[in-house]
Amino acid sequence: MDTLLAGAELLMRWDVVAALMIGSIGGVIIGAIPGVGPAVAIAILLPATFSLEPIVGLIMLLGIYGSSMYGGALPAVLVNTPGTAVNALTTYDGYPMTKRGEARRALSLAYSASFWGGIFGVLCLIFLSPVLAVIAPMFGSREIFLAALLGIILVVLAHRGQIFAAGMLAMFGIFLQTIGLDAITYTRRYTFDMTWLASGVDLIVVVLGLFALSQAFVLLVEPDSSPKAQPLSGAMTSGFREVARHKRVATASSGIGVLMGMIPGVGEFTAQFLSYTYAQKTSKTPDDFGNGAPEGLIASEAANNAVPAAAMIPLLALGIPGEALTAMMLSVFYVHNVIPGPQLFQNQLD
Amino acid sequence: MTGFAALHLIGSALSERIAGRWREVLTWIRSLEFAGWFLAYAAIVPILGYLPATLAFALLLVARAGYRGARTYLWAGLAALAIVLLFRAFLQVRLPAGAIYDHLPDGIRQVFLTYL
Repeated sequence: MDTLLAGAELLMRWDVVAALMIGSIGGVIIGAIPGVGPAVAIAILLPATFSLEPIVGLIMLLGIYGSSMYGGALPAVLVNTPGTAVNALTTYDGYPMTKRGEARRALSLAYSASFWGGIFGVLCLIFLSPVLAVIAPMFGSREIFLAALLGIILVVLAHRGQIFAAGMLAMFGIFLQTIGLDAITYTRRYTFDMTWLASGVDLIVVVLGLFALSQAFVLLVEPDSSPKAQPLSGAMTSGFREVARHKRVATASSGIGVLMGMIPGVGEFTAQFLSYTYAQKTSKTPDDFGNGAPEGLIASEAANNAVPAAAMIPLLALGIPGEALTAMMLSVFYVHNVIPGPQLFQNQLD
Repeated sequence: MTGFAALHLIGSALSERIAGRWREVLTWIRSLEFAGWFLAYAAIVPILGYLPATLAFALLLVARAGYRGARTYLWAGLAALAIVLLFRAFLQVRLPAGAIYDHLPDGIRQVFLTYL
């Protein structure tokens, strides 16, 4: 409880609030631009947060991370193009609603469901953190090793049909990490006597290359698309009531989101598919799915917004990222000298 | 890594051929050109300075991507300027100052070295 109050006190500072506002509003805008996902935004802004105070920088980037999923729903609903990859299923039911002239209803459903999912995820994080704080001290290097091994195995197994490629890339990641000076015996590994390789490959450099530059290449090589927008109509406040009417779907989807967020290598995409399938199977009108069913929209948005907070649980507790974005957040934490892992809960619970 | 790579290679050699696969390979190869662009940009920044290099890079890349028309160039230039001001002047990211900034007159040299 004291920690919660300390957290609330932190939120009273004007620079923290400003960072949170910039992060969340920026996140919605960035999420809404197809092709520029939160990964790109975080990768680009990461060097910029060096000069900021750790808590301000972290909160800004966490704001982007949390809000971009909702931003991605906007173009998914309005122009049938998901803003981020995880909004793909939102187009199934969001766009047909727009075509029916219910764009505003769809948007309001999307943000209500996002809100529901997000709050559910954060509540899970709050209530699970004390539990983790009890368990985390029991984790020594052997347990961490096994947890990391489990993470790698799950990442590989999650890529059905491409297991060999996934395994190869996972091993490549481990190889990249071995470059440089070995921390225990001070052997130089794969440095070829070059001094600049002795410190190893910087995580931020890898993150920038993988997420920002790769996306830039894709945008440069692919032809442009110019989708048409539909006029807005319908009530803006009806969403919360409608989500409350479908609270079973919303809660179950958020639960699936939390669960999938905690398992390394699964992430928003699987969470969304699982909850969408679940919603369709248990629905009274399964045929409406794909033709503008509100439950479909709720399922997909609630699930993907529950993931970010839940993905923080293994990241903060064990230092193991659940998916690509959390891997980037890990580098964010490292840059600001917050080392996630069992010690974090012992030393700085806030 | 080698083990998995070998398995992957065997797997792809045994699986059926997908139509249009060479087109995808070509797309990958075409992106290498832009990797060259970014390398050149990173090499030029310490010489030309962040602002001139970013401006030049933005305008040239817009031209290379096939956009024509004065308005597009204007927006590209403004975007480059905004990026420089945001990252260098406002967020104070440590970037190498351009070597040519040393030849600027005394009054504005300091401003350029610190903010642009």
